[in-house]
Amino acid sequence: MNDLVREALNIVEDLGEVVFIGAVAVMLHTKINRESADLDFAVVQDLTDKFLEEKEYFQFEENGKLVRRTPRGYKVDIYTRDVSRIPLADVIRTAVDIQIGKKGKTLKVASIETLIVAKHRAARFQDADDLRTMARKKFNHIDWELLETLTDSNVEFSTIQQEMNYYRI
Amino acid sequence: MQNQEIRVLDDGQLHKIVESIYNQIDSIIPFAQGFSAKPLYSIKNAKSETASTRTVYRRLHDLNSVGLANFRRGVFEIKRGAILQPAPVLKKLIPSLIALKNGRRFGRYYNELDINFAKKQLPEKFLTTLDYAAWELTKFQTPSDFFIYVNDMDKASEFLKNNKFSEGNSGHVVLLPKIGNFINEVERVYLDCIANDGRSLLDAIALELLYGDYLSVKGQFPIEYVKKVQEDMPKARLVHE
Repeated sequence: MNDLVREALNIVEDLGEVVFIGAVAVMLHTKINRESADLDFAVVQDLTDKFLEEKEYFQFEENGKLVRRTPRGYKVDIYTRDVSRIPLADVIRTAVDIQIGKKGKTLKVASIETLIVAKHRAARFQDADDLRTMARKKFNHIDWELLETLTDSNVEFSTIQQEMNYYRI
Repeated sequence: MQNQEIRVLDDGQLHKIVESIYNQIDSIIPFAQGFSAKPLYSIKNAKSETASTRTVYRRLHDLNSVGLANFRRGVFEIKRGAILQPAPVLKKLIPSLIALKNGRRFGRYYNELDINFAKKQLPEKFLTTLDYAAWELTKFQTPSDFFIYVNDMDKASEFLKNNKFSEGNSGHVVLLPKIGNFINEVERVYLDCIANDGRSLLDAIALELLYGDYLSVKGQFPIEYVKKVQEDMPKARLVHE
């Protein structure tokens, strides 16, 4: 099992149910992707600083910025309001369970539609690669009606459709 | 295009050819640098902002010929991380850009088994670059595609095809023609990472943070990406170096 997936399972054990987003979520959907040793997740229930510290998810000042790490040293970004302007309620409502390994364990992961909209909006250097991976591996699984409900406008929706059609080839 | 011309030449000859290729794109670099951060751009919008459709297509064609842009069906993508590099770095990227443009992908099972096979069975010597080379050096991002420079593309591709590999867009084994300079292997991997753009730019930043002393030329990267790499890098690696 991939180290990052193992760490995702540890996080669920430590903190309860969370919804994984970002590169690890793309990897869980597509089974291939490149990711660094950080995990992004949205929380189903509010996690207080006190609770996180009790669980040894401490914050450290690194390069002038507060960074929270798991007890095993992985950096985590915890989303409590929205993911690239997609309200947390929608991220959680549309999340899917993905089975890990053969022992019946599952992780809750943002839907492919949420990930596409979030990555389209973020538009960082690495997001084009993730969109391409999702287009090539999951194009036929995209629920376009659901995706449309996550966009701001018809223009944004048709732009995303155009992008995914371009990247799938 | 120019890969036949600049395949392993002495430094003087390579410099001349790189200069001549750079001169062909020099005047259109500001056009390519002028786009805001987006995954793709529409030719219709590019036309209204800068020039006629015909001019836009000509510029994209020139950028495509050196692997800096791709376009089809009215939309295009630009290697933003590469195009934003200063001229001396961009010139150094040209052999990498052309090698990547001429890369050929192969797959059989389309998973790690293909990579293991290529690693163990390819009969000729090869040099690993991008994902796997960067992972070996930095342990920053897990690798996906196995990019290798081979001396004879035809021979290597024939070997893979004889072993039930197919050529296409989805394979994880990528053969690259040996173009340019390979004396400083760390620097070559670094330049390849910048030329490949996307997630590989994060590898380039990680390489620069860990192996800066090995690099004779350094790229320019937005500060937020450098900070992200510093934060995400396994701590032991940074302390170690």
